[in-house]
Amino acid sequence: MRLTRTRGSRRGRGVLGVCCAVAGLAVVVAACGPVGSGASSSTVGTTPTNGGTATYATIPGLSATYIFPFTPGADFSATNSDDLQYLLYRPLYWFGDGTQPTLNPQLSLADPPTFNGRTVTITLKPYRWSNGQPVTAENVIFWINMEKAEETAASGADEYGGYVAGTFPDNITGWRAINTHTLVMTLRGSYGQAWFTDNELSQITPLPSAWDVTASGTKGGCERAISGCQAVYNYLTSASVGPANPVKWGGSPIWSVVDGPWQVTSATAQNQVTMRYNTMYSGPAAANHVDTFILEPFASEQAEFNQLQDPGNNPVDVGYLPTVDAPVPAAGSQVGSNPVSLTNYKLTVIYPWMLSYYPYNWQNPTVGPIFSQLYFRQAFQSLQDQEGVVSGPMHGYGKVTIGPVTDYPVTPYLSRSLEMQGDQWTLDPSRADRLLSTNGWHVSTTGGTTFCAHAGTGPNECGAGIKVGTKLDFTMIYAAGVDWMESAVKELVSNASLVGINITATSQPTNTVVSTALGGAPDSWELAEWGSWTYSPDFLPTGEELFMKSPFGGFYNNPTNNADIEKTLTAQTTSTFDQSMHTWQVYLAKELPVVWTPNVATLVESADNLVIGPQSSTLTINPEDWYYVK
Amino acid sequence: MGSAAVAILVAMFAFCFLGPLVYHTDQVHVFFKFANLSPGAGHPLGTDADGDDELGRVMVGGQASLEVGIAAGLLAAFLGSLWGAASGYFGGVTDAVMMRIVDAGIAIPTIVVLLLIVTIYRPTEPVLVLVIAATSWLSTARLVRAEALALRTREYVQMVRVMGGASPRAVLRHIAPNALGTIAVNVSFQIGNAILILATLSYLGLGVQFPAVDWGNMIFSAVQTISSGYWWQIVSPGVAIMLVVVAFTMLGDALRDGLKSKSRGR
Amino acid sequence: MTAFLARRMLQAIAVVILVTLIVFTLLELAPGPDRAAVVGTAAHSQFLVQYLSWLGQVLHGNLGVVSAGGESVAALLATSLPRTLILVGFSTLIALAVAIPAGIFQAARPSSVTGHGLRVLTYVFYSMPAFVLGSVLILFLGVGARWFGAEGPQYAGLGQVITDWRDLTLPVLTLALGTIAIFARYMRSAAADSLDEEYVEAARARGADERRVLLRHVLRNSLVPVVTLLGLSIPQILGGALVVESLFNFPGVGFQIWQAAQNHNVPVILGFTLVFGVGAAIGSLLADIAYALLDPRVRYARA
Repeated sequence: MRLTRTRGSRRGRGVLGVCCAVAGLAVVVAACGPVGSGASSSTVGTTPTNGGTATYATIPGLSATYIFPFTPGADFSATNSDDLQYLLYRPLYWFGDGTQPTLNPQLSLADPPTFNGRTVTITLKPYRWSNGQPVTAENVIFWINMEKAEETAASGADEYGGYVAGTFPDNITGWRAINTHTLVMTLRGSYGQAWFTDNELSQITPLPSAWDVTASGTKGGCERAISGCQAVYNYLTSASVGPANPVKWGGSPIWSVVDGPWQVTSATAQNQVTMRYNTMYSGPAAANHVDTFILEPFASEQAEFNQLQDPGNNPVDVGYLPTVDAPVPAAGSQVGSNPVSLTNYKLTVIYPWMLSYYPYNWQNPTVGPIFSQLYFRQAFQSLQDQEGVVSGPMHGYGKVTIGPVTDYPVTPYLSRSLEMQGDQWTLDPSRADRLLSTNGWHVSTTGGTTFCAHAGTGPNECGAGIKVGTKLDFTMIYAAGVDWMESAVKELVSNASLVGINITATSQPTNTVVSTALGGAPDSWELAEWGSWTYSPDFLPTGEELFMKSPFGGFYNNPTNNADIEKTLTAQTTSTFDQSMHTWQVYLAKELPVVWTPNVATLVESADNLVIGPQSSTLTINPEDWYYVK
Repeated sequence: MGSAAVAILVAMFAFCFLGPLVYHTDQVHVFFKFANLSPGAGHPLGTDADGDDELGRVMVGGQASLEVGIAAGLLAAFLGSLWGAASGYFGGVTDAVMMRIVDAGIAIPTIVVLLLIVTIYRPTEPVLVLVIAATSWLSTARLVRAEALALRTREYVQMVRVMGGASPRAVLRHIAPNALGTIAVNVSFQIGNAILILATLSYLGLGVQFPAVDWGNMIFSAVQTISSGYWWQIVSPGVAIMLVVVAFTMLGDALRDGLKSKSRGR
Repeated sequence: MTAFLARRMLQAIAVVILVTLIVFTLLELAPGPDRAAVVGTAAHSQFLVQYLSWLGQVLHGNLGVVSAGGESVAALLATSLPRTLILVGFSTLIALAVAIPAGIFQAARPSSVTGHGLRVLTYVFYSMPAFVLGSVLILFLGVGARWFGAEGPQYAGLGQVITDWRDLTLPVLTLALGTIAIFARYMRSAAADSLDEEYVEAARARGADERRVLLRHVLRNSLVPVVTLLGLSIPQILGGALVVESLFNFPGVGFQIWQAAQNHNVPVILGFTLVFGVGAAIGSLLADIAYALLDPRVRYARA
């Protein structure tokens, strides 16, 4: 399950999620090859056929609910953007190029931006909307005006889920069309090219002029001026959300104007959405491809898996294998086999572009001083059995996290030295014991609770703010209903008890965990595990949204780290950017600001006779490249 | 039937509470390397997904299930009896108000109430006892009230009223004891029910929290991997929960049948 | 009769109001979004003000919206309620059809092999949590034998849902088996009671055929409590539907309320609980009226 930020929190725009079986895949033209593919039992031909229907299982409990790409926080989900909106309304810049989460020039609506000091120039490719009109610079301005109008300090609300106060569009002072296909923006400061492209321009989806209306047939003025946007926004928003509305998506004069390869023909109040191929699509698509694409909602991964095993009715052509049901791959192989009950599907594995961790609450008045001690965080990370969780409850489909930049897929942002080093804090309760014992704690290994024996800030003393007699006794909340997470937390509690650390863990609905950790009072939580941070629509793994006194990082705040992050945001060239990313992550990896946990893979199941090609780690999908073979 | 039920219950109690004294297992720590072993030497009933011995776990899990079930069942029957007896004894407006509260409580789906309460309080055993009792006492209240309505016309209760006996005392002294048969039957059903409710709470991820374990969350974990073929993980706690619930229900039936033949003999 | 009806109606209304008050209070205690915003009153207004404001909107037919600027709760309800009625309706009919004869048989022939067998089966299904029963059915009849679908019908149209017996069977069966166990135990006890009644003894003494006794006297007299049972079982059956719907991915009322409770979606919880409450109150009202019609002593005794 992958969730959006919940209402009430306004910071950060990455998609947060407990990633258990997130399904999403893409065929990308310049792909680096599939991660791997399991053997399939039946024999299928290799001759591509044109047409056919592909039914796609959406993430459990997270169905397609919102068609307007200017989506509020409550509906800002992977399903709505990656599986629905991006198929209909192409973003200005597309991210996901094979396993790399980088800019994909082929699938973008514009050529890569050119920077000249504080001026950015964007040149659009000759795309057309399905009503025949070209995709113009005005369409981009429509979006910018809309965001400028809605995301003001005064409005206070959360109209666009990807907005972060102080960043785009607050950080541009001017934007104008030079001609129909060229646009110029003026930046408020000197921002790094990489950051501005991957984290700021990445949010924009050009909107068609046909949407610049305040009622059916009544022209609005949002493309021309910010002041014209509110009425247009109100109209489009009211027409987007469902179930009263999804049934109206099909054939809607608004929503049927698309520049992407798909068009909604019908949708049900249960959020099943049927799309057909848009023959006016200007971008690349396979010569043969399916012509109908259906999003099928599921309440739970168990229900989805049951359906996969039952091909008799309502077949799912592309779905996912729940981690709990996956047979463990043989040693050394990336992809294992399907469960015996699952026939006629092939298994592929995606490691999504995300970071898995859970935060310490640095602001907690009681335990914050303990979390502030580096030796404690080292000891605590030494109790985290990442390898064991990967080979155990993740059934082999996980990757150990060693620092703030995911090491799988390997990207240029990742420090080679850090990658070579590997995990410095593998499971080692005796190391934890040593770290605590040599820092003033009386470690109990016989069932009691470890307590501080020597207060003070000198060597062999517990550290600032920790009194004699303070016990290592913590509470932890974690998201309910994710099998591997439950097991991982159980094991952590078990390991911690070996050195007298007592953790009282409580499972809660994911939304409750997230809203408590992000919006609760400083003393309302101590440790909170919800899963992962997915880099979308901010595709660079820079730390400004997680580790600069952000609730997503448990309010970790460190001047050295902040300065390191600032350098990454303003780096002007690719090499200085990569360099500053490496410097930052090497420092932060040693700091252990949060508890690193393994990334779990998404296990995609696709019908044997359907070719869907390699997968994108950004979880975007391109059904216009899928085709059946016979 | 009653003696068979008692025999099952005694056996299950001995198994759960005395068993761990004989059969030692570590049910606190997690050992992924021993996960999902099928029944065999060393693990007569196999192991679960966390590498814990299944036989030992059924014993320990049974303690929580039985403790919560019995405490919640007793509490529910006690609260319901008091409420129902008072309502029936006072009659009139008091009765109407008290019974409408019961009607309303019954009209709210139990699961919704449980979900809401459990998200407010961490589900420890005492909290679960209170929560389950808070949603189960209603049926007892209805039952005992009907009994009390019948009893209040009896001479000795009338006498107490005429003589101006203190009302609460009359409820406790005369009505409650006379409804005892009905209540005893109800306690038995309530306990069986409470064990099932606890299991359903586990299905929703809101049951006892580890390192505590109950049969419900053992079954739930097993159900999640039902297609992986680890049948022993679902069979062991599943049989245990069924045996106990059936035994309590049978006991209730036997008590009721006994009560009926007694009243017929009168 | 009119006075009885009027009094019973008033009671039902009181129950519905109490239901909403209780749920409102629970939501007040639970962490989650600000209720003031949900019910459209000023922030930090008094509990009672918020409650009355919400009640006022409900009386105007407005159950609120699912999320800001989103669909209405009433619309969500309109699409999910018929599905639940289909599920509950079918399984209750099956349960009655099986439980009545099974219960009477157990009462009439308690020591026969079939009587014992039925009794054991009743106990087994009674003691099996719905999620276990459903999972086992999915494993063997759905995924294993592939006779039935492993999830409920997903069609938008209700006609398609009803005719999709392949997918509808397992959810209906899961709910029905649990309900049969409840009903059969009740029927056995009701039938056993009427078997002891004097007129049955009298009929037997007259030398009436035992089969005739069972059909004419026992069945007829045990049917009266069945009416009550049906009316009072509504909350229990709906509660069972909640687990079954989420297990089978069947988007009915129970499914939606489960999701809403997990996400603390206050308007949905309130709106749906209100509907459950009204359903239960109407059920018990109808049961009472039917009971009064069938057995005139009741309305005088209660008056």
